[in-house]
Amino acid sequence: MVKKIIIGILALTVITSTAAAVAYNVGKSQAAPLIAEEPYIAEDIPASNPVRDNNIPHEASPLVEAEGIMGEPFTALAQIRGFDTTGMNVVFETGETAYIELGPEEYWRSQSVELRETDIVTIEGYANEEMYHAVSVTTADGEQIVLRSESGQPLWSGNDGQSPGGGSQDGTHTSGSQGGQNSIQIPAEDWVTYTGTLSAIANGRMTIRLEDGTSISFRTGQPRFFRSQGVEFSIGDQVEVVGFYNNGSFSAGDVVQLSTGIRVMLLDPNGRPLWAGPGNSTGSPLPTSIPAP
Amino acid sequence: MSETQGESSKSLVEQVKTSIQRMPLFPAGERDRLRATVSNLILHIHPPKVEQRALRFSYTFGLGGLLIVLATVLAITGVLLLFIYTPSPEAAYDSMIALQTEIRFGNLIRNLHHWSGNAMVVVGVLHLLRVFFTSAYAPPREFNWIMGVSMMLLIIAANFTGYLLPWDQLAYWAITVGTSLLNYIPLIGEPVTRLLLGGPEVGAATLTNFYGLHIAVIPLTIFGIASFHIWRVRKDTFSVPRNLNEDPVSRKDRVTTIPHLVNIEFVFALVMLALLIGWAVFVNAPLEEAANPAHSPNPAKAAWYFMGFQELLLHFHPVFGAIFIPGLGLAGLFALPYLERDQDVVGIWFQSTAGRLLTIFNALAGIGVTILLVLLDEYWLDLPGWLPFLPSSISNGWVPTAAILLALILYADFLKTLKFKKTEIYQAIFTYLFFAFVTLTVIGIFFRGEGMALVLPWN
Repeated sequence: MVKKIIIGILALTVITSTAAAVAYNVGKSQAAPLIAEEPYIAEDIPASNPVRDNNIPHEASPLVEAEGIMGEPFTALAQIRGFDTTGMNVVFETGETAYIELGPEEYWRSQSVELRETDIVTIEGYANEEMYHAVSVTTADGEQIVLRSESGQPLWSGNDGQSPGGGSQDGTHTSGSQGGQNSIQIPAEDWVTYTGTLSAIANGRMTIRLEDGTSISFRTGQPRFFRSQGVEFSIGDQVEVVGFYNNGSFSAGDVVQLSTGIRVMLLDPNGRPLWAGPGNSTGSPLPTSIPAP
Repeated sequence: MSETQGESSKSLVEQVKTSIQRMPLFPAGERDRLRATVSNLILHIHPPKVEQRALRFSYTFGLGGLLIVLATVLAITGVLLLFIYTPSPEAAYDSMIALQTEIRFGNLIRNLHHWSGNAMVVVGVLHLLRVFFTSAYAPPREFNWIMGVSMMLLIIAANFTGYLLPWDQLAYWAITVGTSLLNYIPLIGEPVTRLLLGGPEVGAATLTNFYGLHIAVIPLTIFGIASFHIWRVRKDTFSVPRNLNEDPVSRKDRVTTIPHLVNIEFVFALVMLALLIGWAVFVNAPLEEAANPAHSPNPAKAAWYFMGFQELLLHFHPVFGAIFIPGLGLAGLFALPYLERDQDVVGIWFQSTAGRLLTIFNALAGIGVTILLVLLDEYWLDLPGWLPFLPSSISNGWVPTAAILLALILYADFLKTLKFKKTEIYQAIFTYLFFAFVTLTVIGIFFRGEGMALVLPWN
């Protein structure tokens, strides 16, 4: 009897998860014709568009000049499938899905251009490995959200990319405030280090349970950023975070996975979030994955 | 007068000798041999007489005795190393350098210690396999199996704690990765890890803790359990090899332990010692540059005997890869002798002709299926991506674990329909899982490169 119950539970798990996975993937693959049927897309994508290896269409753009600094530029039409706090999931006309980094939600939501699920949009940006960073998003009505400068510098990071950042030459760390303000200098003594257990990682944020039972939460960008640094974080990982408080919210400068000793930088010396892509023509960012001290 | 003095002097020597060794060292008659076995400190762990068939080398391969030889070598070389080694981050690595360059025979002693320790893991596993595949764990030896498995865990713990002591890069990062596995134990993982490390990360306190565990706590525990284990071997009598379909052997072909068993043990120990010393002379124990907590190697791998678990972590959510699956396997090992048995096959290698074929098949299946699943998971299977709406502990933990458990149960039922005996089915499942774990270990050691990506070692 017990054996039958166990077999039942196991079989139920396997069958329902298989069915759910199939349904999800079928749903994803059926999304492609939705876009292809849109006449708007058919008119605007020239047949001669170069196609990248991953089949995401893109066309020539001023950003090409910056290729190699910011990543590979692309312009593509896509249908929005969902949002989170740092970007959106889209389906390209080829049926490929991707996550587009937009930056902090409060920044692009403040531009009075409403983006909704199922909207067809033109995305201009650049791709680094599996990460896609939007420079601008244009709706079918022609309204545009601009997220980065021509040099690729995130406008919401507080630095337009034309002026060098504060760095840490004077013994201070520099932090980018998220929301269009200027860079702020954080004195070295204001930086705090926390060690704890990773209790949640979702929606571009990490939550860490500290030894005293309290938790801190901070923005990290999408998990693909960590994967691109060769590190996978899992719930239960022991991590060390160095950061500071700005207007009551905690910003992390770097996070160390204690089991491997791998450190992932989240902010560059100019305070710009590295998970937002390189995009700074004033110089290459710091290495983003370095061993722990 | 002089004659009296001679007699008196002779009796004194004889008196001292007798006070130490009451029986002749090489007893001639059978009665003396029996008495010598019983009255000798070391030999009394043996029964005075043993079944002649139990002495067959192809039955035991001397693996239990070899473990005692290795433990003795470890104890002697370990004590010698204590004179040189200082357990502090500042001095530990220098101790290693001094052993290699300044101390006469220091390098040989360290090599002997290192290779004996590693050999003990391998020989311990082989001994466990021998006992399993000859069903020597069956009643009345159930509890001895439990003690054997416990000692196997302690041997691994002894190796693990010793791994850190050289305080080189290999040691530091292997222990960092290895102890991080403990973190995944629900509720107690974090405090236990902290207790073991003496802080949040590997440091001076960790070295002191590991040193104490390595030189005192674990060896004494092993000694205690081993004494009990050996005593039980004697009390439960040696299992005797049997041919297929042969009835349990009656106790008719018994011979005295001296010289039959003792001679075999002595010669075998000498041969093994010669091989070990030869190996230690020519193959140095690894020593990388001094530990640098600021620079992690890529990839950072655990000690080789934990690579199977590290490989599991690449495919399962940590709670399942580091806790649930290994815990289930360990529980199965402990429960094995208490599972219902439907035939007496003690002493028969692989139980039956069908059992032998089944064992070979499952060994090959364990290897083949594991390789296939690793490749599938690496290049195609993406459960977290296919089930993004589920927490990863479910999509990448419970779901694949349930699939594997279900497959194993259905496979066992399938074997039942083919009229295999219960004990043969246990053996089949054990063989399959053992070889699957060995395959994971080999993949982890040789086929994982930078970022733990799959690589071909010869490229």
